[in-house]
Amino acid sequence: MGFNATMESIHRWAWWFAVLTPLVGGIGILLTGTVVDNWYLWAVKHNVAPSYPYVFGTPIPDPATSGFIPPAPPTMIGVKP
Amino acid sequence: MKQLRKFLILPALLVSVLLLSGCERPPIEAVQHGFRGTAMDLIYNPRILAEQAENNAVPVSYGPAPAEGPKAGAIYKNVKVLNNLSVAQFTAFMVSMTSWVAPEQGCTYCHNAANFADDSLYTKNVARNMILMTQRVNTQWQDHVAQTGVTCYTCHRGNNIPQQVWFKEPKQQTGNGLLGNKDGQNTPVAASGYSSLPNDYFSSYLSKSSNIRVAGNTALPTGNKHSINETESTYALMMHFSKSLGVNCTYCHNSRNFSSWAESPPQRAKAWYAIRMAQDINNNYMEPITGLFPPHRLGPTGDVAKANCGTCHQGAYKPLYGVSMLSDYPFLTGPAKPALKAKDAPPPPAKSVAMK
Repeated sequence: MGFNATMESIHRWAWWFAVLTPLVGGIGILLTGTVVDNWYLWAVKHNVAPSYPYVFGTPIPDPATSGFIPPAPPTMIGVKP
Repeated sequence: MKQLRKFLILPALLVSVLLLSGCERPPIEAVQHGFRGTAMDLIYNPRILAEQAENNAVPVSYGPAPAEGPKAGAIYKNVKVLNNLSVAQFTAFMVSMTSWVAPEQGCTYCHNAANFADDSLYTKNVARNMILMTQRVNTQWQDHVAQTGVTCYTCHRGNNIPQQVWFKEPKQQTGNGLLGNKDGQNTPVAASGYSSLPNDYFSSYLSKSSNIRVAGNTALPTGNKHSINETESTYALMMHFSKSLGVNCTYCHNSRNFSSWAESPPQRAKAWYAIRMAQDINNNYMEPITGLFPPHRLGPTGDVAKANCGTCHQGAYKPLYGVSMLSDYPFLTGPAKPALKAKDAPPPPAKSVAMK
């Protein structure tokens, strides 16, 4: 057990780090939006992301689907239309 | 070597001080707000909470005034909005309003001292419309304000103009292209947290109803096309929510999937209605009275001061930490009768289980 780093080994490691970072990052950028749109849902689809219990009671539905109509505009006082 | 070390120590110290000056000083307290081990935490800093509490102190309550006796509309001249109040209620409310909105100027901020019925001061007509707005919020926006409701104090807090309001950002004047077009971003302003995010996003979301949802809701692409600019505007709006309520993302969202309603904490539905409420306030109550204001009260593009989350919340998750001041002023929950159209849409039924 020991970290036998030398001036050379550190720079060998740094060289590969420098090369692989843009390469892997570039692949990620190219895949996003073209092959995968939502990485979370992709991870769910491929059984990577686990599901957790919902702890806030009953989940709320999306209010946009509730048929909500905002109140109609009022008449103002002292304002000429 | 010693010389070099001496030479470098000062710049190194300066750089580290500069780097750390952007950070928030500890302590940090994390409160669990979700399933264990999922990092669904609310982060608080006691120093910031103390500051926040100072801004959200509730004024002393004097109890409700008696509703019996002659009506204000019959005794006083030119009472247009609060004519159904008893004289006691009316005068008590006028005194409260003065202490909430114009504690320094007193009655004469809105009234002509020689003739209180006179309408010559613009502030009087603005106040009338603002009372109607308060009644509207309390009666038709209970999806957001619940039974707590709002009074003038919720926003004004002793100021003529609420401290946190927004104006449209003036469009950047572009020359022949040498300076470039910043396209409404990369100009640090307080509204966008001094970041490079778009700075006129209030107009898009709290006045116009631009699309906030940009994330795709399928794993693989199915035609969800949104620009980076749209995404950044959404982000800027969310930063505003966070800043105004003194909370982080996990207060309303499950951070593993921000767009999913099935996984979101119920507080998110409150915010959904809040966006519509801000649009209603800004489009139906503020914009129409732009003409009442003198030029010095208007923004750089001649628009009226408008409301955002910070106007009421002022850093707290609930304005005044959820203390309702309405019990002393029950008429503020009354129907905004004289000014609303008969065919006004009925208040929507409560649909969420969000915090009551």
